[in-house]
Amino acid sequence: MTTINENEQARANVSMHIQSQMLDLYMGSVRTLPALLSSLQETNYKTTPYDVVYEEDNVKILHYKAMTERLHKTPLLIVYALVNRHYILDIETRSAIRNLLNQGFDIYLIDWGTAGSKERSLTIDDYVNGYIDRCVDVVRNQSNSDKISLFGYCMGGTFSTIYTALHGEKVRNLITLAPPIDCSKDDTVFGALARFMDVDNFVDALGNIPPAFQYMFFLMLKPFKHYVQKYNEVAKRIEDDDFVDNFMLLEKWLWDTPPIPGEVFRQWVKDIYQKNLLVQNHLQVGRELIDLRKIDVPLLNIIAESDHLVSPESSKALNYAVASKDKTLMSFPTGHIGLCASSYSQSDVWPKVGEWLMDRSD
Amino acid sequence: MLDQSADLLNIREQNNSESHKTSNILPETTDKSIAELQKVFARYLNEHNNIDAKTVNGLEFVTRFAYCQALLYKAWVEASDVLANKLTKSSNPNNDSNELTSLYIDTFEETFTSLFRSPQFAWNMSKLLNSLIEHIKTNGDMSEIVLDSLTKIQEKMEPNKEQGMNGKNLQVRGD
Repeated sequence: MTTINENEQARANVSMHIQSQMLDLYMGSVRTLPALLSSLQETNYKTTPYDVVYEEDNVKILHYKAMTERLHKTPLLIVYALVNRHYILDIETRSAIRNLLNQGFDIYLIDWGTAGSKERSLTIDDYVNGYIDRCVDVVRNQSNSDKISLFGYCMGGTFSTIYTALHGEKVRNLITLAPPIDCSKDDTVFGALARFMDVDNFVDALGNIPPAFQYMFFLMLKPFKHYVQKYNEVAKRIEDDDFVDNFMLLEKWLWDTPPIPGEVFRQWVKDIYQKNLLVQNHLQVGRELIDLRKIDVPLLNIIAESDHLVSPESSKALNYAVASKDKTLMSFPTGHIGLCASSYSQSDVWPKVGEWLMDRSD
Repeated sequence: MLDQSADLLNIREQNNSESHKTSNILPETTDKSIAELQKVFARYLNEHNNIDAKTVNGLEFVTRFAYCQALLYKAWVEASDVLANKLTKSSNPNNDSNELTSLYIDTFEETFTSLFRSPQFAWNMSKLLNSLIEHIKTNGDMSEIVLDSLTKIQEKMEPNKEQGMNGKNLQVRGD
């Protein structure tokens, strides 16, 4: 008969203890979660006041009302992604929009709305050469500017990059926040899944990609930090009203993602992730091949060092791909969402973005 | 044994399987329970000559799901081992509960994120989702058949539904 030595026994005991601790943590989250989620409906945002200056299909342009004297003539048009919603940029005490408004910028934003059956067959071409181009023209007319500054976040950053390559004559400055550019360097969970995804089968069967599938992917991103530790933290700090209020605002945003238009998703996964055509200047949008070397406007590329959604190396590649002489890479020690909706972003990110933009706006 | 299991889900051409996609080979597995499951399915496929695409898809779904579960379980055990090592080496493992919780979370996070990033998991997940999509399509077909049947039944039960003002049936154009 073999006897288990003392070290192995100690390890086995610790291992059992760990199992039980992790289960406790997990069950703590499971108990807290339903009560929190049911309160999401009562969570309301107080957005920065805006006017809707243009509407087309589900798309709107929001023009934020000035909070101080407008110091810079060149307007800034924000292009958000088609995943999740734009109001992450306008979380009450951590609003990126307000931060830039207070620096005297004239801010417009494209609200994509909620994709329905009509949006199912829309492609990247429809969004870039259709909606974005028309929105840019509206902003140019409204602000009496020949050119605008274009700001894109994540997928919106990629769209803004593609737009600038095609319509550079209308763009004064290009600012991108964590854009997927060179997906061969993407080592995130989404990058791995996208590489093997049979996206044709997905889109042919589902049409628009429903929120439920997106949440399934989100669950695989930092599963323990986001779905165990986070809710345990809330349970511990439930008496802290400010903390809980902020938490609920972020949670509402997290569980409020709209469907992704099917054909956009198909091309996004196939051409941009699987074949990596964008950075190779082989991506076709409509009838045109996108050549990033045609971008020669001032570029500010912002990346998050701990980004778990878009690898920093994937985003950095933009600085090497464009022909711009004036190009800046800003890297911040935060995550994908922390770049725009954290107290750190308020004190460190947006003031620096504003400073860069100030020098390059009329 | 591994070679046999690797050939398990190569699907034979079926008469009415135009839309059915041939399954690729499962990744090699050292997990005995998965290998056993694959042997059972191989026997089933060999013994039944006329298996329709939907049944094959069902088998594929179960196998892929079981394989995902096996990978998740393996990651859990691995994370527990790593953590156990760290804790036994630490001089004061239970001093600070916040630090301990962070250690737990970080260790499990790292292990599971590595798993989700691995080609093995991603490939299998993709196959699992594919078979799920096929199920959704099948359910869609079934829903259509059920709704069509219900509509026909309703029409038979209410043949005089549309009547003119004089109580006589309206003449249908083309009749």
